[in-house]
Amino acid sequence: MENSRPQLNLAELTQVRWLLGGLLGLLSAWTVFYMEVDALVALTMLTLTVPVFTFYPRLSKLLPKWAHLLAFPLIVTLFAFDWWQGGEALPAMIRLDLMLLGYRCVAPRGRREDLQLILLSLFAVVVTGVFTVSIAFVIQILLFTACALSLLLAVTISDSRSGADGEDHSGWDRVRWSELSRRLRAVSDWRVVALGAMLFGGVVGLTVVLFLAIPRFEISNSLFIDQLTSRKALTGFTDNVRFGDVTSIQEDKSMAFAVDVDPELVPAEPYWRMLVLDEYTTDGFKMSQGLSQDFISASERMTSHIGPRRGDFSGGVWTVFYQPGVSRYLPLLGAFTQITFGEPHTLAQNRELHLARLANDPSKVVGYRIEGMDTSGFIQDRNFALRRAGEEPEETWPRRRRRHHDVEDQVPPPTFLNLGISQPDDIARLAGWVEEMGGTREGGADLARRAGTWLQERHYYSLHSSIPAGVGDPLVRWIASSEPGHCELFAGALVILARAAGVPARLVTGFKGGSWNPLSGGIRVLNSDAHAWCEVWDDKVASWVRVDPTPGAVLIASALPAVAGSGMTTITDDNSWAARFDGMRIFWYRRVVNFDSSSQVSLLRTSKDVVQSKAVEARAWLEGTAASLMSWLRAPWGWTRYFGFTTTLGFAVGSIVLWRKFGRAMWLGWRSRRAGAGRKDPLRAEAARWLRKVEAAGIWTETGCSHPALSQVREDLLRLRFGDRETWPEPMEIFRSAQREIRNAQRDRQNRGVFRQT
Amino acid sequence: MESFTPSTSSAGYTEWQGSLKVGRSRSGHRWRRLLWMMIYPRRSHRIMPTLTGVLLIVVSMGIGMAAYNTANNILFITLSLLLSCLVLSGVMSWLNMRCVAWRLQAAGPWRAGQAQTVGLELRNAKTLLPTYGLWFDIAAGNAPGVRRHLSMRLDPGRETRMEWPIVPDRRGPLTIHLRGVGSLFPFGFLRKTLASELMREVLVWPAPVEYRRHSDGASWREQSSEGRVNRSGSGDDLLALRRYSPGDSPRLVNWKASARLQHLMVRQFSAEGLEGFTLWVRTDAERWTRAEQFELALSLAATLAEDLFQMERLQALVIDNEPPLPVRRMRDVETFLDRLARLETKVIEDKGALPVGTHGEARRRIMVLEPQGPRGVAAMIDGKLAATA
Repeated sequence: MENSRPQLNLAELTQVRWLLGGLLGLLSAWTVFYMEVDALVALTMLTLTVPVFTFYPRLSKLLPKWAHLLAFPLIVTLFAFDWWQGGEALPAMIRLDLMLLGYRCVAPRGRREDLQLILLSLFAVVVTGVFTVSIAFVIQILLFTACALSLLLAVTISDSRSGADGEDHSGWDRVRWSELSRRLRAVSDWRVVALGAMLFGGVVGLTVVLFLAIPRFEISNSLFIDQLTSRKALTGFTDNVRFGDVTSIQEDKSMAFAVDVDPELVPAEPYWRMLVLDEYTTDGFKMSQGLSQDFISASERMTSHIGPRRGDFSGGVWTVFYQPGVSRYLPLLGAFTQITFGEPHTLAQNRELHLARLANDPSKVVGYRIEGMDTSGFIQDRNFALRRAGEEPEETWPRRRRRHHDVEDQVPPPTFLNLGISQPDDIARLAGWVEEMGGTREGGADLARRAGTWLQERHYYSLHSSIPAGVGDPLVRWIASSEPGHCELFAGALVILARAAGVPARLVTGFKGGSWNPLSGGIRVLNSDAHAWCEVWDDKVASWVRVDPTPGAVLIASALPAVAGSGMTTITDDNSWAARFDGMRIFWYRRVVNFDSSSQVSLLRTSKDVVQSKAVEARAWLEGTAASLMSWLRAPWGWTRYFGFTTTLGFAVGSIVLWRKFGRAMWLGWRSRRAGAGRKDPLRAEAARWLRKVEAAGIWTETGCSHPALSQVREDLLRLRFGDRETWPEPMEIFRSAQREIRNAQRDRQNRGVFRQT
Repeated sequence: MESFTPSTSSAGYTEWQGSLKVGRSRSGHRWRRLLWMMIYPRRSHRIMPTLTGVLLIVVSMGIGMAAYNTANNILFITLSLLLSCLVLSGVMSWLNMRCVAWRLQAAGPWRAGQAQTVGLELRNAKTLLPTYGLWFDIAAGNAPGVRRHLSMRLDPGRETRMEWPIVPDRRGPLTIHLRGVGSLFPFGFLRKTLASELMREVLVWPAPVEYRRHSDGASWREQSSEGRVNRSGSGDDLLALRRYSPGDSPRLVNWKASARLQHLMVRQFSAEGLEGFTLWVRTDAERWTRAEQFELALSLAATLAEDLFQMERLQALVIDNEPPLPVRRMRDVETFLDRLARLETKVIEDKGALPVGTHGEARRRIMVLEPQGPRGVAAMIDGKLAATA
């Protein structure tokens, strides 16, 4: 019996394999775009050559034999040279993978080469996914899976074809794509394609289930792939911030980090502190050597680190998803009690500055949970307060520091009073301005308020500002001018004004504000939220007070409520498409990337709670329904109720009887007429079902059946099943008689069994 | 999975075997059985990973170790996806083999040394899905199996036929055995094989041999008109009445005689022809000391029997001291060839008497086989050399 649809021959199957292989190679190679690996040359060559060779397979046969012989040694030599030259294993391996992928895509392939191609592609996709932890990995791995499985399917079918009768696939390279696509349409059955799509959906579903169900336990914290390469932050939050660096970051509209937090805990205007810069030079501010050495690194990579705010877990839980390429300094609102990472990290902390930094710039999204974070805007520094009060002499500081932190260096700690300006004229001008604004009267915060107001009166805010040319210190020149300024200039000016007045001050960089993402239910902070402000020591409160002299900002932290869940003045809802996509990314980081054993336990508990609550609801519903039914039954029965009950019951029974008597026959007949000749006839299918029952009910021999009536029914059913429609008896009558005779036959057999027993 | 209900075997077909939809009676029972089969497959069902499958498992293990070592969820996702692909492979393989049935056809005649075709009919009883890439291992006797792949897609509700040329190397009973059905479908990760008990026994007749006919003597020639006889044939003259045998034409039934004798009698017509021969095969071990010479003798006997029947000169066939088997139709020769296929040498006490006729008279023109030299075999007619092989 011939098949209903045509089939692809071996040459066409080989063409499909060639196409899928090229597609797979390109897809997997392009994932490398997401990595910060310098593989532009290899990628460009691959992008240019593979589509051409895929479209014109004959080109692959033009490659001379010696090219195939030399290809592998040449690629390995290039890899060795690359590794030796660059000194980094992973980028070299990625480039090696791309070279091998390129070669496999342009050279003729058999089964083994197809498998190599799939493995090389898997390597590229997985390494990129591990390295970037991007949500794009989901799409990449799904496309890879679909492509690879299709390729393997084509390989298996080709092999069975060639194994069957040694069919030749010669001429496969003379492909006409329009003809192939027409043939593919002709051989495809949409129902099978739909079933295949459903199966693939099943694979995705099963993957999700397995991902959630695979038991999580960590064997050890050892080598990982991101250690095979070194990365640099893309933007400018480093130890040395020159004027304009923060402004350039503000031009980047991408997300810097997202924060998952109870909105009630968000302060009115969150200032995410990342860096404290104390040393002023004519280029800008930087972290002094003494301040930098106060960062004490953990002895090993750990997931959990204790912060400076020991034991105080008030302030809720803040989960931050920190994007790569921002900085190795972590954005924090203040002192914290504990910080927990998804993966082990070596964290260095400065407990006086309440800052923390990673060992390297993160190459992928880093998720961390902060507990007990202080959001008040006041930075407590007990040691600095002691020194300011003269209770601890400056010269004892290095020794104490050495004792506590085992630090070798003798660099003195910063005083936050060094002006960094050597020109006497500039110092004099600064002193004059301090005098003009009233000098130090009621502590640092008071001076900062007056200085800030003074600056805002002289300058307005602009991202496009410049420092006037001239001699002397650039910041002093700007203060003296009426040029507009950006946040760094305002903050820097306030720092040197405060220092000129004898008030310790320092520049702080980080992010200010953010927007509330309704989709992810968290704060979304963009790189454009980058900001610079300053912190001024106030002896009256014996702490550092945040001062933001940039026009438009609230000048002094004390002017804000400490926690302002009801009034997130700067946090506004963001419903843009970018915010929605970021919401998906946050979902990805929160629910997938950071899924761990505790999440698994939490999921199990949630599932259990849901099941239990649903069971309770169902039980309550059943009990309620039963109770209402009982109460209805117990209520006095009058004529009206009797009539209504009887009518409803009669209607229900009548409907069933009518359906069985006529409705089902009409339904089957209608479907049978619609089915036509080419499709499965429901009446024939029903006859087949009854035939099976009839054959099972009787004992059949060559001469007939043990129950003769069944034979007649069987003949009628056979006519229904296989005969012409014109010769059919009344179908429903036959089905009814089949049911009757089956029952009789069963009763007979039972009686015979009883008789035998007695 | 269940076997198909056995169907009547005819024309050399075996019963249908294979798998069909899991029972339709009770859904609970069906699911329990299905789940149990997945946990503990039947002994005859083997699923082994192929090289690709081993590679997949090794890659999965590597990624799994890396995932546990680093607690990286990207790797856990990849691991889950690879495991899902393995499960998908199993499910698709199961769907591919579901509702597929097959049966063997090994129709005769089978002769040693001559190729014969074994057919395998394959039916896809599914309603939606086609079946791809099955293979079947068929073995004859103890020889290694010959594998044939289902080259084309088998659409739902369709049947196809595959054929194996098999050359039996010796006479005797030969078992054609479908050893297994397997598939690498869909991705080549798993090699799924179902052991099969489907077999059919055929009887292989002795191999035909070339022989030299010695016509220089008078053995083959007619010496006089006495050599011309009336024998059963397709002439017009009635020779006799005999009992009806299956295969006889109903037109030959003599209804009067049948009514009188209370069983069917058929008319036998005569045809004048040359006097026939009686072929006498003796198996005494003393005569046939060399096995290969005995085999050659049987082959010569089979060839002579067929040739003489074709020439309408075969009158009867005799084996050792058994009563002669009169030859009337091809079926008699086939019965004789069936006997030859199973014959072995044996020690016979009474080798003496020549076969006699129906009425006890001594038969004439008896062709006997004798060893000739260390390897050859000679056919003698009434003591005269008639043929050698």
